[in-house]
Amino acid sequence: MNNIFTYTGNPFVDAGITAMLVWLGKEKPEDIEDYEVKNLIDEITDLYTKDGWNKIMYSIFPNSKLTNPSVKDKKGEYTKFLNELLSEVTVLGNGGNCIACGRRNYKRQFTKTQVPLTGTSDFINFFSYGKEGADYCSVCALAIQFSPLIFYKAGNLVCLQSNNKEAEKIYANKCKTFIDMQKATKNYTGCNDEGYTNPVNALFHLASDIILTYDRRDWQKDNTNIRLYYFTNFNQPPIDNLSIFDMPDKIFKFLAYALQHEEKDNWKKVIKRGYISTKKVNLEDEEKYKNLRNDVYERLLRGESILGYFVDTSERKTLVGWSFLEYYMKGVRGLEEKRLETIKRVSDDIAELIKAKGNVRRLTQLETAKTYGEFRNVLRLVIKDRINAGFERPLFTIDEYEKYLFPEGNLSWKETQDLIIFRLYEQLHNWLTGNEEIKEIVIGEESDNEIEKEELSYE
Amino acid sequence: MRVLRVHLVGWTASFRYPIFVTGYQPTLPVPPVSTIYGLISAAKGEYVTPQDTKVGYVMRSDAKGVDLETIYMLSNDNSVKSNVYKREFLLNPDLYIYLTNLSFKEAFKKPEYSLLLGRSSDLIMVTEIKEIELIQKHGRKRVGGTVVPFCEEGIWGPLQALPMYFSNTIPREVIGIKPYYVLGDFIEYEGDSFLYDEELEWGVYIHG
Repeated sequence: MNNIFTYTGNPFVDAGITAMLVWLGKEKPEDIEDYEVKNLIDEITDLYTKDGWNKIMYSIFPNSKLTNPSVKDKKGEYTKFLNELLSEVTVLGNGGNCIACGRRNYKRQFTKTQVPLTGTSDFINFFSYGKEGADYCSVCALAIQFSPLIFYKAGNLVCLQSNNKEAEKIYANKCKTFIDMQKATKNYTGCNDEGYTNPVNALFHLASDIILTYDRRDWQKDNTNIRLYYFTNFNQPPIDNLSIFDMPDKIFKFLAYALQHEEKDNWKKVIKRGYISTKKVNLEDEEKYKNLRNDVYERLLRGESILGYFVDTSERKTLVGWSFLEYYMKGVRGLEEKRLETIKRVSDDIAELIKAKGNVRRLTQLETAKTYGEFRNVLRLVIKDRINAGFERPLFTIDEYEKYLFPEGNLSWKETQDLIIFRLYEQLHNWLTGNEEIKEIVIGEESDNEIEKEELSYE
Repeated sequence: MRVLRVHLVGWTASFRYPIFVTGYQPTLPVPPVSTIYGLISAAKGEYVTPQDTKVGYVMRSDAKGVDLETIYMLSNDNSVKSNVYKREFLLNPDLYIYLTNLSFKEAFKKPEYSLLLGRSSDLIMVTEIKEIELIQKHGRKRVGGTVVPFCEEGIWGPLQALPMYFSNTIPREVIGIKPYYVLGDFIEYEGDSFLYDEELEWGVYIHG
């Protein structure tokens, strides 16, 4: 009998199917045969009853045959339950009322004891027509029993789901290697645990691992979303026992780009700057910081800019090159090419003027402008400087100003300022640090900052 | 294709993940197709299924928040206990639904029952009912704010098993459960499986 499994969109069913595919070395869910599942049943019952694993089962299948203290023969009883499900297996049909696959009918209802986060029979008003559980067909309920093989431990448990099934398999292979190691050493410790307790950091770690495991693969061609269901299914769970973390495809692609880019070490420096801590942390030792909150990661997931992390304002230098920044701005922030080109050209012209006139004051004014009005005023002063210096070409046209520099006026001016500052640092850093005379001016500029602000008024 | 476009707006909306009955109730960013058929049934005052009209929809919202709400848990021994849940909700839902059956215009002009997007407090109102032409536009277009069946080429996003509609039998049964891409955000799409709303400049996936 084949054609019994298919991807369903239900994270726990699909995780179980992916685990079976990897353990059986199969390509498609439809290739899995029922007799092969029978062999795997022996493997998981053996594994789940080992001490290290059995402890974890309390937060996956509470009160089940595996965890209920009144059950003496846990292995036998759980095997019996799985074989019952297996005996009810039918091939995929054209329709059905199973809430996971929709291709078969349910035979019985399941609660959190067999399907994580499904509630108990004390919730009958939460199930359709007051039934005592959720309507899963036996095949989908059986698949769910294999999902713990590829759960990840990050404080609570993580169930990873992706639209890109290859990415899921890469991750599942990693879990299999981890379990194979446990079997070889007879040291059973439970689900894959690499010491992460912060789910956001775990998400970026897992995505990076997927990317780097197959680094020759062209991740840019695929659109890969990664989703983490971060949960616990204890009998007395905390009220926040479920969180969902999404890494959209554009962030995944950016991560793939960054990790395979010649500037990957610089990218790692950017990430390290994102860790938030009230005390000094040794950034040489990952174990010391990997569970601190990371503002770079959190901003990426919230869809906010991380441009500020690409520059070191105290040293007036950039941490990554323009081409890296360009990919980020276009791929993640959705900035159009023409806008980026215009900002780059205008910044280069400003840099040329600052160098030609030795006027570090303008750089300071651009850096310290706090409002849209202040920033515009500095640009006006730069235009005046250029005219005085005999530059014939205007810094920008009205059209460029409206369309590309400040298309949304007050709303987007900060991003334009950040980009101009980035490019100015890139262009001027060596000049600023390599020239003793300029260095003295820079030090003088810093002490004159307050006076400079007075000059920044509308005329 | 000539369709009826109905624009509905509200203050809040909430779409439960059908698989989770737990202390924290996350919301889907857009409704499943079954919610749209429920909405049309409420407007019509009769049971409406894909046999009566095909539907497309695009929904946006401004933000997501979390409510604390009291729930009542009924046991099979008829005892009731109250508890507190956290439930996510969407702020300022803005929903356009497209119906291939133009005769539903009257139902939305004067809905038979309250129109809701989730909880009984998530009331919405009709702001515009218009007949429009959805065209076949080849090449790149913006699509999102909807769900699209898994494996539709050129589409990507988080996956979820969702129903198409429910039966009106006792007990009610889900019909047409399948995996869907849940497109909360808009993406650029190149294929021809979406029709195009020229006025609103987005693609519309027709279900049914």
